Amino acid sequence: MEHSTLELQGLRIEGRAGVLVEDVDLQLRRGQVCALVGSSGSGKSLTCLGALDLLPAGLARTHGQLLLDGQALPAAQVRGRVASLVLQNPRSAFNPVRNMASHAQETLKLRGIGGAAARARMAQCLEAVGLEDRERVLQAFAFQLSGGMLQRMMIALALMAQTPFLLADEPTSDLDALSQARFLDLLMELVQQHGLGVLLVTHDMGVVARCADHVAVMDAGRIVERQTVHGLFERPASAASRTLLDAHQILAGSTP
Amino acid sequence: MSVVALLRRPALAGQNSLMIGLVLVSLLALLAVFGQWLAPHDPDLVDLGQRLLPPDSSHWLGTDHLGRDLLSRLIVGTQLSLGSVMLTLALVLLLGLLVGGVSGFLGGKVDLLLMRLCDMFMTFPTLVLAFFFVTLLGTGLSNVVIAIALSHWAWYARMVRGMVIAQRGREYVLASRLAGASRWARLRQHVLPNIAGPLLVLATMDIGHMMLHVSGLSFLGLGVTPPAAEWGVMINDAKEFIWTHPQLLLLPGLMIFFSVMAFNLLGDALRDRLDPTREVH
Amino acid sequence: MTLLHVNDIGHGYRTGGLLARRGWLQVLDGIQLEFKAGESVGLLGSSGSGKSTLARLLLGLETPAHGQVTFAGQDVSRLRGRQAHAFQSAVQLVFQDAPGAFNPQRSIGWSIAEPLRHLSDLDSAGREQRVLTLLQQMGLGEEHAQRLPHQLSGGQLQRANIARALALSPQLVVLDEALSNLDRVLQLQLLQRLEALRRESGTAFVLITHDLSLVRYFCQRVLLLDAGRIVEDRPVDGNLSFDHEVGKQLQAAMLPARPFKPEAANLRTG
Repeated sequence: MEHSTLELQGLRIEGRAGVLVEDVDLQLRRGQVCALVGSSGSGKSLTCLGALDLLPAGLARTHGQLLLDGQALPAAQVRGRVASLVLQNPRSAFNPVRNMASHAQETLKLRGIGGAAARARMAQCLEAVGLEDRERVLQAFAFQLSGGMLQRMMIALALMAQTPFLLADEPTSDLDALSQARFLDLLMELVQQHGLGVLLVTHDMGVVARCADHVAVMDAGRIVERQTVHGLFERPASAASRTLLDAHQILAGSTP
Repeated sequence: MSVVALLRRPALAGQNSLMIGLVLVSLLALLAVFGQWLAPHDPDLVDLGQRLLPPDSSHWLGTDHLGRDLLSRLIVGTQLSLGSVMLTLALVLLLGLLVGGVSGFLGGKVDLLLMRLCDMFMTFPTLVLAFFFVTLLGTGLSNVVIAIALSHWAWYARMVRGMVIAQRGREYVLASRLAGASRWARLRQHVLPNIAGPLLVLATMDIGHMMLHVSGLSFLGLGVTPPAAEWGVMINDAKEFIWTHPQLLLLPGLMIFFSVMAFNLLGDALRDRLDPTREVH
Repeated sequence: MTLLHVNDIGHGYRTGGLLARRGWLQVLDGIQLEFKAGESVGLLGSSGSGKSTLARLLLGLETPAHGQVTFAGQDVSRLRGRQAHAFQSAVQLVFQDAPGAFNPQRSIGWSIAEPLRHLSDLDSAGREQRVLTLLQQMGLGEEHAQRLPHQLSGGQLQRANIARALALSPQLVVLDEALSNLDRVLQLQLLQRLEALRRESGTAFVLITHDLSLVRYFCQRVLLLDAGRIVEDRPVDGNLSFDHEVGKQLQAAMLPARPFKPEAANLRTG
């Protein structure tokens, strides 16, 4: 399969307060989900943004590189071409004064697709993410769609961009239980059928259980554990993962 | 955001505007307060033997058409120009906060009534009101102040009302209601302090505009009249000398220009500091 | 003892305006409920089910279009003066968005003490002591009292939010999706503290949420809300299973306790 691995090596992020993320390595493979877990403040969201050079003002990536199939690639070329991004707050990712069709056209134009071919592709991608009533959705503005629908629209845009990899930063944290379930089902379908390679940042072990193949655990800006998902649930090695797992299992009802 | 919190924020790029603005405004304030003692000559002393002199060691900026020292008149003029603007602003803010605050917080019929009142006042152009008051009460600075205040307060009232309505629905105001706070307590402790900051910015930006009104009306002969040393009056006096002694016009004009610029810079910098979407690291 | 009676509540909003056709959006319909002392009840529903509107009606923040919510026999949306104060001392609400629930210019201690200032007889020293006790109860320290909202994390702010709601030892606390923005570890900690409080002081809780796992852990009874109506009302016991379609969906939507993907032999560790 073309473009089969995307690696992040040696990521280091610094801010005014000091070093926030250090020595982070991650490997993404097509058709697999790598979960990056940690509690709030562990640096997992920053890692996701830092990998694509999308850090907010005041923070800088002082070290780290991306490798596509072993070849180094600058972040600017990875963004939108090799990897798409889905963020926690779907509403903020859309321009409030432009409708969905306009966003889709922008994405497709960057791929060199326009006109009738663009419209066909839009229809195809919206169907793939389960957004029925295509015409209404395309004409709609962000404020007219629910959070769940906006997140699915983000995935549709990622599909339109035809990127083999997807970085998702807490994509379901702002969604209710039903929307979360539908979104994760969609994600898994795309991974299995289209070979999407996903980095899924989350604090919820339930999401990890549902989706992940491999897990990297972050604590205080560093990766403290790396395992397959089964390995993590059976033999958690770090204090950070044990804390997260205990809370999850009590609430999931498997420990009285 | 309170004024105190504002000033405590860490320094950032764009600090230059704030510093320059603050320095200029402080200078103007100093001139306004201590002008009479800083002026080298009596600004009203007419000496026809010394008319229209170019700058020299005694008169640093020369003299005007009546032999009065230009520098002294400019310095003393600060008091009149700045003072009247501050007074106008105080009146406008007071009326605006009162009407806008009550209207926004209480809503309902009170709101409807007060907004119709605002609509009435917003239709009066400043110039027309000024003419009206002059006809009624004669010329003078106080009438100019009243005229400008009356034509501007309604805009502020509307702005304050909008801000209050936005704040009123915020959850911390609701939480306050659940905590047993009366409407007056909610307005005083939660809503007003949180609109003070943005309001201050708007007011600062408007000072320049009001200053132009004061000077403009005085230039037209509606406000302060000669022999008062006010920049607008000075410009009016110097009309005939525009080709022969342009400095008589340019210098007071420059004072107006720098004053307006100073307040605009200050307002700009304050607005940047207050912007909630700006990240502070 | 019943604390709050919800009598045939119906509520909605006018839609349309200057240019669109005027309509009526029914948000709640025919709600008939009782909330008893010492009980923890879950109000379960998806977004759009009307749960937040119901929360506001329970606290008298809005007047229902139809029906009444009564406390001690009186309509809560029409209370004034002493009766309003008695109600506010007995029933409280915790909002979902913690940062928005605090005045950004005031310290946390000041905000937590607000109900004490308006509704209690405590003097300044007494109030300070109570604030410290409340902070401690929620796992926060003395130093947090002086801080401003933006200096605390989301989780800490929500704890302060709950502390404020508990200031007057109310008999009933409504948590309007109050735990939804928190991570699992914090959700569990807070539920454990609230459960302890319920056992010690008999405080009743209404947990409004879309997350069935929280209801299963914390609540004794669950009300299922769908499209503005209560469609199921059942106790929470070992094998919680709903009859109604929406309940079944919410159950299926719960995330698994353990990974359920088959363990493939050729998966390399990463």
